[in-house]
Amino acid sequence: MATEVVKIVDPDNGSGTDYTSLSAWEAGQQQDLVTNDRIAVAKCRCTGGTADTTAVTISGWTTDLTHYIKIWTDPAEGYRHEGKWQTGNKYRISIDDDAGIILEEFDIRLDGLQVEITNVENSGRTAIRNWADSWPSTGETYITNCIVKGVTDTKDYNHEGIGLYDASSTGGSGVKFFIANCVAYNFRSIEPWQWAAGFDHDCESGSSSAYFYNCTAHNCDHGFIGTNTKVTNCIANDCTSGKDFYLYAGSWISGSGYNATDLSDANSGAPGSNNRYEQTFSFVDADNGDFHLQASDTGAKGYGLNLYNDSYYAFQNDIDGQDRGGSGAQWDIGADECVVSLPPQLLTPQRSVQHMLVR
Amino acid sequence: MAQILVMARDNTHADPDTDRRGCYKRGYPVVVMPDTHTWGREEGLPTFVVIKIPGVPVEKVRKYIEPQLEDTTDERGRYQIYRRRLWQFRLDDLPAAARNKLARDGELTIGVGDYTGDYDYTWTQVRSYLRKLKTGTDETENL
Repeated sequence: MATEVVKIVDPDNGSGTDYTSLSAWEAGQQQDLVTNDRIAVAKCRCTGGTADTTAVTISGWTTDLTHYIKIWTDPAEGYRHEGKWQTGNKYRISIDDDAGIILEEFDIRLDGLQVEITNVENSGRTAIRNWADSWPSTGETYITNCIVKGVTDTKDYNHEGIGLYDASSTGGSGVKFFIANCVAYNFRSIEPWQWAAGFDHDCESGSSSAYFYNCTAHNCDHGFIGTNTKVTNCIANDCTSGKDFYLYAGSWISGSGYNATDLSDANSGAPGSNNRYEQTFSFVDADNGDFHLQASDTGAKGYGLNLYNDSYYAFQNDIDGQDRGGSGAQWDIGADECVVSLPPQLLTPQRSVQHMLVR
Repeated sequence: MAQILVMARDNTHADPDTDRRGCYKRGYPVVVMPDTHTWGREEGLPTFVVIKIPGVPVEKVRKYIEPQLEDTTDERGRYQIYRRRLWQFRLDDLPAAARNKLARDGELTIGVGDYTGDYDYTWTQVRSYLRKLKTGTDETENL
């Protein structure tokens, strides 16, 4: 069993801080995790309200499925966002005209992070990306409970929230990306570019796969771009200059579906079945990055597929850690599960039964 | 008002291509921070040293933490990283007194312009030990 080596990253250098930027952590901890039999963990804090403003590239490591890199905020410590974009003492990476997190390793877990691009003057300004030119035969990357925020009216057609670009002839089918409970918004470019996207997994010649589960894309050119990608329980809203769901090449992975969009069937490109078209979503405050569903929502609430026992990536909570209701519940679509704190007798009949039987 | 955190050791990878593209080497600038920044407990010797340049804005030295990119784009117009850093402090070529101070204190203070506080060397003395790896030429510009 590999040993977890946990280091504290805090831009404010609070008590117990090992590194004051994620970039310095990466430089200081870069190693052969397999030989050293380790899991490298960066636990991120923000004790004084300062953002981490240095772009970080994760590269030059040796990893495998059980010797991986984990970068996260521990929800028990209070420095993780609460399911919406937050400043104050919530850890965040804030980057001016650069990419936020560049992944060139393939056994990585990012959990509970916020990454924003505040200005775009050049191309390739992604919040989180893996565009490595050499891909392995196996690897598992998990990006969960993360919020990525871009800017609109850029000339960067590569401006993306989470961008995965498999152009390698060496990328094997064992390379998988699991993206769950994430929000991407404001990734837009102007004409004639308009290829900015919230979530993108392109395979030019590789055979990797990606799974976008319960993600929300808002105000992007494209919501979700995919090749050999499964998209389930995802919301694409106000992604009108491109398609909400765009098949880049090949095909979507079988089983995609249960997505929701404000566009019509013909224009949305939503893959699979049980999708919901021309929906109006009731977010708490979309203009300010809060994509929690209101209790009154009729576009996404209660229309998702239960992924509690999913064969690819099973999970049970939403972006802010709330239980989605167990194996028998009807999930909501999108990153948030609207959990109403009412006694069972006041819930809708459907929710009431779920509450009594499942919880 | 800048400080540069500089790698003091070589990280290595068995694959030469990955080693060049991904691994930090001794003398590579890692991050830049303002004068007021305080470093974490692992941001010092033996892994790092700090080059302090009081009074110089962070924006002026940010270029030293850029990677060296490929000369040409890939088929989608994207530049891949060729080397982890474009610039490298030639720490081992510094004068003996500077090397000794870095080994002992883990930091060096550089005087620039009308800075009147204590310093170890001037920028003019030190900049020729900062090499642009793509061209093999040393820095000649003022801060």
